[in-house]
Amino acid sequence: MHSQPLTERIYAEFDATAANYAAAPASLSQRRAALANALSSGLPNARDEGFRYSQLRSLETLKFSAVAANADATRLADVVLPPPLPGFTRLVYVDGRLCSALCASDALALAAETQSQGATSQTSPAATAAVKPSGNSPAARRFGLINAAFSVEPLRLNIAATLAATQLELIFVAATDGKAGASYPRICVQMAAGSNVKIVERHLDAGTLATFTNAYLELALGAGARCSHYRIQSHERKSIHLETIQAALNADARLDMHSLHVGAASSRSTVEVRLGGEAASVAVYAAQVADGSQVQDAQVTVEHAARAVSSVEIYRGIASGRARIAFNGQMHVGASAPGTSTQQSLRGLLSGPDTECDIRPQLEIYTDDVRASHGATVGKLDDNMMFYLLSRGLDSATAQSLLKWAFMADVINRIDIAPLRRDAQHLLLGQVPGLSGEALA
Amino acid sequence: MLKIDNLQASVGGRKVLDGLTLNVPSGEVHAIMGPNGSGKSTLSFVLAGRPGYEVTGGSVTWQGRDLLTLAPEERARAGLFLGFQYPVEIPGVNNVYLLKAALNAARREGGLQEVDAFEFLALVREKMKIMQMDESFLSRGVNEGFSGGEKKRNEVLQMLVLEPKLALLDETDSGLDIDALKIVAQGVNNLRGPDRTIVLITHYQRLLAHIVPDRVHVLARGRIVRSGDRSLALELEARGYDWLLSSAA
Repeated sequence: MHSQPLTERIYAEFDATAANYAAAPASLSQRRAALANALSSGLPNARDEGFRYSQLRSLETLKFSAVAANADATRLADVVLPPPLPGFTRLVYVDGRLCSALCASDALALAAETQSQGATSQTSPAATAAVKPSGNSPAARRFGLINAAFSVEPLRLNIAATLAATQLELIFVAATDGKAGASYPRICVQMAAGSNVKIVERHLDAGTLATFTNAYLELALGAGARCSHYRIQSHERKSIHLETIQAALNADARLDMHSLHVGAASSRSTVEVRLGGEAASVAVYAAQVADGSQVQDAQVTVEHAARAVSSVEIYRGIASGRARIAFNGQMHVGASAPGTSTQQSLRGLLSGPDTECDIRPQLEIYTDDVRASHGATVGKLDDNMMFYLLSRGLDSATAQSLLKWAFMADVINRIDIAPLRRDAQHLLLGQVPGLSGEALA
Repeated sequence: MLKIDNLQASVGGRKVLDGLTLNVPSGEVHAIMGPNGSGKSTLSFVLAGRPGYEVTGGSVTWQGRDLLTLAPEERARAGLFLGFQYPVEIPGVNNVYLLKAALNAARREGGLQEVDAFEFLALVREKMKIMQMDESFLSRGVNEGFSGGEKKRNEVLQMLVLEPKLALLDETDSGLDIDALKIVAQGVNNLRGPDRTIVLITHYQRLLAHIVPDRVHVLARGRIVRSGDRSLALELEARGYDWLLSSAA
């Protein structure tokens, strides 16, 4: 648990800046309740089993109140946005606030619609009801609750069933030093039955400040809805990134989640998915690459709570230098979920003697009728592959880089938006020196 | 000329090569045959510099250089090619990238300019035609999802593109059907030339019906126990190895 002064400081920061958060008093009380819920038993720290690998000590030095509006207009000059994804509507948020200067007019129209629904109602009642995974430590949700207290411009989306998929690209730029304030991206997505959406999230920094981001995403999928979610986190290596994702799926809904974390000094991802409707399915494709003294930590919990639901989880992580990576994949199969199918393939690669990798596949099964497979390995580069490349004349550094790339391809190649896949590949190339884009199969 | 003199090598502390002596002049194709466990693959790995294969005695000279002092990649860039018995799959790494990187590494070593993409593709297409391979192979991961025969063809394709001075082919014929065997043999025959040395390691005489060797050697208990012309392979096919093993004991 963090020190008492930290929680007191967070309360004090909230009170001091409460006027910034919402016009409606009701909202303020909801926020206070969320904050009290989050802090009643303190913040998680390294002694909490689920947060052993999270680097949370630095929270003591960060400011939790949201970055004030228009704190520094010059920071926009440092924002370098990736090329837009064709066919996607792009919204750009800077320090948790929509930045109209960086958005196209059609995107702003969409944003206006969402903002008109107000900061007060951040979570739809239906979604709230659906997103109640059971059996998990409340500690895992504390950062999500802090987001609920502090977020300033939540994006709430109601996705209707249309012929074509809705395609959104959301860019969250953190541009302020974490000692001056935090960025709280918040997205709540309510999907109608049969609707289809693709949501791309990018989290990055402007400039080289050590920023602090605490993001929250809520997905509620109606019957037969299809959601593909992509998250690329490439903060500067001094920044802190926390994120919480809660998803609930009704019957026949399908959720594909792709994530790549390469940035931040410390990144913590908490994901909870509830398969609550018959034949709902989720696929989680997660990648982490950490170097230097970076820490990448993820906990993904999938609750199988209806008949014939299915889940696939593929994780690949590489730690170099003195980095630490951790992935905890928890699969709960309840008594109400006969016919469940669940697969896990979790692999970590240690690229150096001072690295650390902790991979945990955890299965809890309360029904006999289940097909479950899991594989988890932590190892070094394959000697046979290495020798094969050397025997073709490649130098050792290039061979190692190629093999690291090959290791990640299982996850990265599943990104089905070609330009985004290329972006992810190039981010990886930046992490894997000595390799060119031609190498990628 | 490849000159191996009294070579001794161990794997995991077990002596596998025990005084192997062999000379292969430039321009010749030599076949090495032998029973299981005789040290054939160990010889190819020692020559290619695989870690874990410890040379405990003897020497290997090639083109006037002490081969054993070179790192695996240096041997490759100097023109040594090992065709693997079991080529590894490397999903995610583009086949054509590996080919081009390997070719350019060798060219840089030889003081030549790197090939450009256009030149390279023309070269690869020409070689693929010889190996009767589809162009789709190029964009796939290295050996990823290839059948056993396709992997062996891919090995020979790499060899044709790299045009090594010394090619060691470790059981390149194993797992091939008759048609694939002919294609692989055609690829190897294409490479024959006065300044090239080819060492074929094989269990069976059938490959030698398509690639006629200048010399055949029998490797047993870690050393060459008999050498002869092509007729030795036919004799082995008819009589097996026992008669040689008992006389070598």
